[in-house]
Amino acid sequence: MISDIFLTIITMVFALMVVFSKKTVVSAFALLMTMLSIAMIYFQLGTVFLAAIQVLINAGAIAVLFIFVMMLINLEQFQNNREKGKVKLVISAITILIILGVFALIINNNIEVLAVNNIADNSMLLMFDKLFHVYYLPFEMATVLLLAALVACVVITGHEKNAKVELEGDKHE
Amino acid sequence: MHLNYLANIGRYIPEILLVILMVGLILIEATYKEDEKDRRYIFITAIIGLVATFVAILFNMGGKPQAIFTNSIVIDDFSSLLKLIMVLGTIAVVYLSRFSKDIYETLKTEFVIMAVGILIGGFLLASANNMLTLYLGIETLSILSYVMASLKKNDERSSEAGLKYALYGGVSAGIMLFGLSHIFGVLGTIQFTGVAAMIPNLTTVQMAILMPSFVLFFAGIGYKIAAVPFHMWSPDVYEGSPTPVTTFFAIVPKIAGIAVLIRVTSVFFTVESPMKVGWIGLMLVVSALTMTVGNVTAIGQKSVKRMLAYSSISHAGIMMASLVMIGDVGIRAVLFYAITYLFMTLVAFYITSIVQDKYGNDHFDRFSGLIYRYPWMAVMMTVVMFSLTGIPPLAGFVAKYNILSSLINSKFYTLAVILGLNSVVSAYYYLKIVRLMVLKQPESEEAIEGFGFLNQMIIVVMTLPIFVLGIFWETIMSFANVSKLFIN
Repeated sequence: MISDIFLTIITMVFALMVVFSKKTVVSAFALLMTMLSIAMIYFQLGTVFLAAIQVLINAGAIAVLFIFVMMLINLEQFQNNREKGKVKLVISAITILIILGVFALIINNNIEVLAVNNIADNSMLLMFDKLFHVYYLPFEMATVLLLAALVACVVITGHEKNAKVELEGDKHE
Repeated sequence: MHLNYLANIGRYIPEILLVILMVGLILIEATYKEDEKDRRYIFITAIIGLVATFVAILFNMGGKPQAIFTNSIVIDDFSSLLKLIMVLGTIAVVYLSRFSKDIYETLKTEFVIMAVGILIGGFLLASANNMLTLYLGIETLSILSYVMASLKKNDERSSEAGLKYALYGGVSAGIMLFGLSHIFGVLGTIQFTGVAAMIPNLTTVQMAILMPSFVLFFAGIGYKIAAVPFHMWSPDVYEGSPTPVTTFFAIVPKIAGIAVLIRVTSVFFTVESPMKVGWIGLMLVVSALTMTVGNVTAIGQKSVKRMLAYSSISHAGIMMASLVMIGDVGIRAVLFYAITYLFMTLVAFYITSIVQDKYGNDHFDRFSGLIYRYPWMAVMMTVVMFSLTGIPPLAGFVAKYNILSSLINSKFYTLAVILGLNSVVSAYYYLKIVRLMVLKQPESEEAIEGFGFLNQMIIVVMTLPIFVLGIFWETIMSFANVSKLFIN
């Protein structure tokens, strides 16, 4: 129970940090931490596979992608760019109303929110049983596809000697 | 279970050979130093590997048709025959890329590696037996194709071609996945036979969802074979890409797409149902449109490569026409057509590529007076052009006649008339090259280096099947006749 509350608080704190932090990099980091703590909640609920996917895809790939984009663009120009005034107020009001509505719906209908005991975790087992038995060949062939994509990336980004010569020629002009 | 896999591998040797070949080529490429220009071993290894694959497929043929790897893949004579065509095409293109000046010297090895990769995708497509394998095949085929199209990095049109191909490809793959997910959602299976079993007895609601889903599904395949209205990418990509790449695109992805279209059509729609009527209607309209648009647009072209691109669109339309007769007759006709199409395309592109290497462009005028300088080559080009038009006694005639007669037998008179009219129209632009080669005086007397003795020999050897298939077509036809589709 304590760990539940602890995780919830951590998730909420980091989620708020994403929104309210002035620095973009801190926001991105907070987003990463939010993803990770949600993964922890999944672990708590016993859905191991979902947790692993959450770490791999949301925390691993997407957060890193965000940070990459931040490194590539010039952050200075976006700093004081936040929307102000009536639009913000209206959007906030609508959002709050929707959230309250969802809460009211849940409370009103007695929906069982955390049905921890109902989840029997054989999702991993089922998943990999399918992967390595029924869909064995597509799974293996996906590796060929990835190899092909890798070759494609190398070819398309590789520098050409001819290209260099032409670029230098352009500079001289 | 595990023993099962080992037993299955015996039938899957061609694909395994190709994967090993691709990995091996990457390793060989990595061991070369940067300043080593002549990377001969890559080509030697590639040719040997492809020939080995060819032999392995030959061994596979004639055996009992079999669905392997828990029904993901079907090995039957139909898919094996199409794989043979694809491998032959790849071997010829790898040789063409070796002496073509259209690909940068430093990228020739990568071209070979990518060609093998695309071939693996084509193999997957040709024998796909469920939606997942089909999608994997299309993606493997596509991702490498995008890069191949933009292989001339300094050339604006090549980069444009690559980007266009990638954008259209991405969108059409998305559309196709959307359709596939709906088919899976309604029927609950991705296995072709599972889908086929449910199609005759659908409820109205299911039908209402599935009809548009199948159209979306067709969009993905139609894009790969450049069927109208998904053909917009094709002329730009064909013109912008280096000529060996264009040759490759005209053969391997197109044959693979036709293969999967045939399989889907003849597995899903054997039993009478409203879905079957809808699908045949779609095929009728699309094939008539594809033929006509391809042919009519080809008339106004100035570049031979672009003309051949449009002509290959119309040939895809003709091959699709034989799909409306679901059953063995249509499959036999399309298999024969695919074999003749391979040789005609190869010779036409070989000669165009060599002429283009010499003059830097491939306008019709560059062919002027070719007969006075290289009589053999001019004759071969003439033969191919006659064959593409469908003039007897060449292979193209037999192939077209086959489709036409079976269309008439199955009472698809409108499509037969459209096909006939299109052949007449196509005569204009095919014979234009012949007229220029024979009746005009040559522009210059300079020798074209590409027409060395060996290359001339190879072109002549590749033209021979066009004669042979045109005269002794019965043997090949019976060969195509036993190449039946296996449904499991």
